[in-house]
Amino acid sequence: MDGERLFFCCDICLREFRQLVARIKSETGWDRIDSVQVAGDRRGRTCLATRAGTRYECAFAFNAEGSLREYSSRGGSERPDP
Amino acid sequence: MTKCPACLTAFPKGDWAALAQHLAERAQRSDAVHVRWLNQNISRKRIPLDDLESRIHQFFDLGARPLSAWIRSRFISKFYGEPPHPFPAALQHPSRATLLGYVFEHQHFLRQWVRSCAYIMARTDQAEVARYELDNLNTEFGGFGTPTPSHYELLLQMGESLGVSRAQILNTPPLASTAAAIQEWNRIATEEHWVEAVAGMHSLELIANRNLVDEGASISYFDPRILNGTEVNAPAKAFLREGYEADAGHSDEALALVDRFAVELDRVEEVQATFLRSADLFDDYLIARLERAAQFES
Ligand SMILES: [Zn+2]
Repeated sequence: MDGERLFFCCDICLREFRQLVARIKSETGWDRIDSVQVAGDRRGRTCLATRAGTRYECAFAFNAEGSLREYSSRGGSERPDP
Repeated sequence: MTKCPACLTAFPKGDWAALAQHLAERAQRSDAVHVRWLNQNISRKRIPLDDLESRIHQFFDLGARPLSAWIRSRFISKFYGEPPHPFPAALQHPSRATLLGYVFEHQHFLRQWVRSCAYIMARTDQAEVARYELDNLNTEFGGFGTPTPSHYELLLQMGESLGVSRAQILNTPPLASTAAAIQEWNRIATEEHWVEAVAGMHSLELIANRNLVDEGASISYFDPRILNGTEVNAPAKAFLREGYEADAGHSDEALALVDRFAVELDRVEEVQATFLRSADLFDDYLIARLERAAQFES
């Protein structure tokens, strides 16, 4: 996924996606992400991210400006060392 | 005239083709407000222009219903569908944080409420509409002395009872979504026709209209049983009860005025668009209450 060209419908979507990727990286300690699968709707979404066979899941929601207002790790196979 | 529900630009009456073209063109340019409207109301995928036109036409079609019935059903599907909007979901059994989020953002909303209603009073030529607004302002903001304070005063008292000072509530600026919504509501009240402003503002009181459950809403604004139990404190009950008792009447009465004057003034399509715009702003504003609530979560 990192390095891929992605299509976004508007600048808010782009902003949201960037924040999500940054947050997943900081939560997992990953330097890059291989894939993300997002489900749900604007009320709240879940994301499954993978990196070299490792899975990480989170739930999140944004406000109207596209800032992350809710985020919770749902575990997955790896958590960063405390 | 037909108006764009995302930006309220006007087109000739019934010219759904022009509206479809405008929406498609703005979406093509990735304008967030137009993209959002299309995503949430028409389609998440790009569809051919003539398809878009017929779906927009269908979306606005009243059929045999009065305008108010269309507004109510659109409101219910937006806020009380499955799943319902997250703010009423949180308010079913509210935490201290949820109630404080409500207090901090809503005091700004109510200050704008006064301005919007006052603009309507100033701009309408209908005595009936002016009287309705006056009555609404008295309940929401003026109050009737110590035994029956205004909804605004009850809101502040609820905040104080939850451990924050009145000064702190009043001195905290609104979150960005609240501020943006207020700015647009102010513009609607000053620049769009007064009947559109009546529809745009008072349709929002449907949120606490307890009759909506009988009309298909998945939940009510909050679980009415909390008014009797010990889950929330007395000032919170007083605040919630006031909305519970007043808002059904407020929204029903306003929508009856809208039904009558939108037709008399030939502004049905304008009212539909302004209502939709206001409902989107309200959606964002309700999320801002939750965003504020998150600041009080321990
Ligand atoms: Zn537009």
